[in-house]
Amino acid sequence: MDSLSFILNFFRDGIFDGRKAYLKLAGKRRTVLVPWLVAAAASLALGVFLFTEYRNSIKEYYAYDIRQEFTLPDGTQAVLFPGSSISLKPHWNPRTVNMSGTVRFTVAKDPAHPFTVTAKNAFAEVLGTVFTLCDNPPEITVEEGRVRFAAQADAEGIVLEKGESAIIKDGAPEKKPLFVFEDTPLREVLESLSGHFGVRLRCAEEGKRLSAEFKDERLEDIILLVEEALDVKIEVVK
Amino acid sequence: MSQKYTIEDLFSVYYRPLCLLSLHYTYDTAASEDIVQECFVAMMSKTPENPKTYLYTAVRNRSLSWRQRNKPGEPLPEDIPAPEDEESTSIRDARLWTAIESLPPQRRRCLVLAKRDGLSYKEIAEELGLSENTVRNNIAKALETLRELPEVKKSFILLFF
Repeated sequence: MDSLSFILNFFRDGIFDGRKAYLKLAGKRRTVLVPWLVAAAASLALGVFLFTEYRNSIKEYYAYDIRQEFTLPDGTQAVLFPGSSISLKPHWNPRTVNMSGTVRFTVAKDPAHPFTVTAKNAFAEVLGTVFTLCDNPPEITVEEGRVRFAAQADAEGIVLEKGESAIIKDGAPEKKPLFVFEDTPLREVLESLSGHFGVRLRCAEEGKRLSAEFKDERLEDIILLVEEALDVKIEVVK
Repeated sequence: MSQKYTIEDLFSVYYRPLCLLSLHYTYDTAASEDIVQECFVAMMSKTPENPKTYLYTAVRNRSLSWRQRNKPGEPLPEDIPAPEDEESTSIRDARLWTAIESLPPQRRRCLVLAKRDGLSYKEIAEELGLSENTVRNNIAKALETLRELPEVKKSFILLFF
């Protein structure tokens, strides 16, 4: 049988078409691949979702009508005054804490990881120290160590040391005066200053009264100011 | 070699010749098409050194085993090309197939009904709603076109004159 009659014997339109076969097989491969890819993508998305959920899971602590003390995941002690709450993400960063109300933190020391507290109007960052933060009105008191205190996390803020307090005024942190005296007998004034600076101060006219505020002035300057204001002579007894 | 052809190239160049090679074994267009597609799928998972050689060998082997399964005991047709002639024969066959495919539809239909289905001019005329003269004319013109193909010239003369 010759070629042409052989071919004519079997000829049909539209068969033996390489293009069609390629598309059919490529299409088959695609339909096999697509559900597989969709399944893989779906389980990946679910995994990412669950992981994100896990990382973002929030632990909250509340103090309702009485003061409550908690130990946070990183070892920090938090004393929550009535009506206060704190929250943190233990699996994300246990040393980033959100709070409202008034909370006293005794921060576990971990120099590599700053401990930060964010409140509605205040932000504090420390390495290891004891301080109390109140968010309304925003006020901080540092009992130990150093604290960076700001209105929010990205603001520069001020550094507070042991014994200092600060408030947020007009969106900026401001140190509270260490000493506020209002018509206070000079005897009490000298007692406060003596207690703070670890000295003994004496004056012949301790009955005079003083109204003044002192922030971070040195003891010598404070003495000068008081002497000038009250026209007295103050003696430092070591 | 492995980078010379993409899968798509191999399909567009060798799919039809391979079907026609297989057809010499099976005499069954659907079976041949299945065989060739299976071979392509097998090749895609193997990526052989020489895809063309792989395909021709695979199609030959699969066609033979198809024949043993479906037509046991029957002798092999005489015009099965020798392995060294497979490529040239199948490509020539494919060109013929394509030439028939490219004929104007009415001429092609008349030719196929006459030569494949063995219908008389009268039967074709009734089937297609044409005059017998038109059918005769169509077939003559179709053969004239095919006669011009270098691949057919010799065998064509033997067949039709």
